[in-house]
Amino acid sequence: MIKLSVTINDQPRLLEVEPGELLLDTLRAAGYHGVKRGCEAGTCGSCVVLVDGVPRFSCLLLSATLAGRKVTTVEALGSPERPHPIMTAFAEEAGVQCGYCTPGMVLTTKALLDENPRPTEEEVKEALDGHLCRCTGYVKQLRAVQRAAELMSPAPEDK
Amino acid sequence: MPELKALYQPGTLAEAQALLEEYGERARPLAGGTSVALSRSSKVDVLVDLSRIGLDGIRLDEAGGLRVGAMVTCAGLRRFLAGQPLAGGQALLDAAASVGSRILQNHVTVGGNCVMVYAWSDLPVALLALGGEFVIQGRGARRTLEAESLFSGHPTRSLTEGELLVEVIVPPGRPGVASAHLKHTTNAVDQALASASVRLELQGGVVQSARVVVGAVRGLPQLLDETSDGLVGKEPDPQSLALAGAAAGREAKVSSDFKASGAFRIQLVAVLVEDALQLAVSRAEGTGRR
Repeated sequence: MIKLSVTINDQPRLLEVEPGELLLDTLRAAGYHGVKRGCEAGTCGSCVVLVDGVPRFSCLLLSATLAGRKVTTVEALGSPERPHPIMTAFAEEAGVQCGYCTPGMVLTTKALLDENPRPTEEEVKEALDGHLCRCTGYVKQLRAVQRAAELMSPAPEDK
Repeated sequence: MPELKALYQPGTLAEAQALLEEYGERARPLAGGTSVALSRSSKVDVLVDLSRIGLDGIRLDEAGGLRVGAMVTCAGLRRFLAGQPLAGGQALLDAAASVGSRILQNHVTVGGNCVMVYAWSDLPVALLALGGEFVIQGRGARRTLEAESLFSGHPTRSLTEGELLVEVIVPPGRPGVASAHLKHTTNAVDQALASASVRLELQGGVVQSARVVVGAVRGLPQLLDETSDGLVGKEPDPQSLALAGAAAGREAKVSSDFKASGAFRIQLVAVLVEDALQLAVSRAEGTGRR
């Protein structure tokens, strides 16, 4: 076992991980169930978390390589009682159906809006490249990201 | 994922090489991790993580050439080239931007994509077209391999024990040089069924030199000498480019598999080469998308 010192959702954690343990498994075992197991091949985006603010597939990352890094899961953003504006936007725009792909999309949206508060539709499409949704299609998620941008960073005419 | 007994995170290149030598065939260097995560190798039980040994630099050198550390990700390469274009090197930006999905581009490294080249890998095709060079660091000795040499067989067989790819060098193009990379996939995140990278030098409306490379059709990327030579001295009009595409379809060695027949891949090669040539010509003339 390897002792891993890592920050998860702004909380310093000391975990014990196997050398070949994937971050997806470590996080789910530690109770972060917003991280979803999907294709396990870096294709579907269900398992996306932020590592130092960058969207990454947790099914392709070995936990032991993340010493000193900051990992963010969807639990850090909000809760049903106190949702993050991105979560509110996804709900309001019906960008959620079964919800399995949503945590990853919400986190990628967070990374996008942190870097680019008012993205164009093309930039949103590029950012969400790597997330598959089998329920709703993608138009509602694109609207949700634009709505989230408005909620988080209102343009003068939106105020 | 192999059953691992140990994962090391060395802080220097020398430490990484010592570990790889110590464990020999049991050890594998870990770059972006996409090959390793999907591997089922029973021989490998030790990984040596290369993420903390300073191979993540990227810059244009004094001559305007590109120097990319082996651990630079496709996303890092894409962002850099979007801000500081490499003269004539548009194919490399095309290729970096077409690797998997945007999120996968945060994982895949330049070095890993080249050393662990798969049939569908994008960067090796573009780097072969652009005349890239690969800096290999051994224990004490350093050597540089041209792309033709590195991809003449599987790159892992070009590296001796303890040797690591540390940097990729791409020479700048002269005025009149332009390039392009295109590929065909069945959906946005699937592996390519065929790809093409071309580099053209135009002077006075005539092709002075050309390098036409195809990938994803069988094994390693293929530099098509006859097709390339056939373009030299020609005006790059639509008829010449269509003939070059057809020539590429005849020259490329293709395979059939469950995703595409060889006959379909030949058609894809012809279309992709013609389209990539057209895009490179429009870039050279300053009339196409950058």
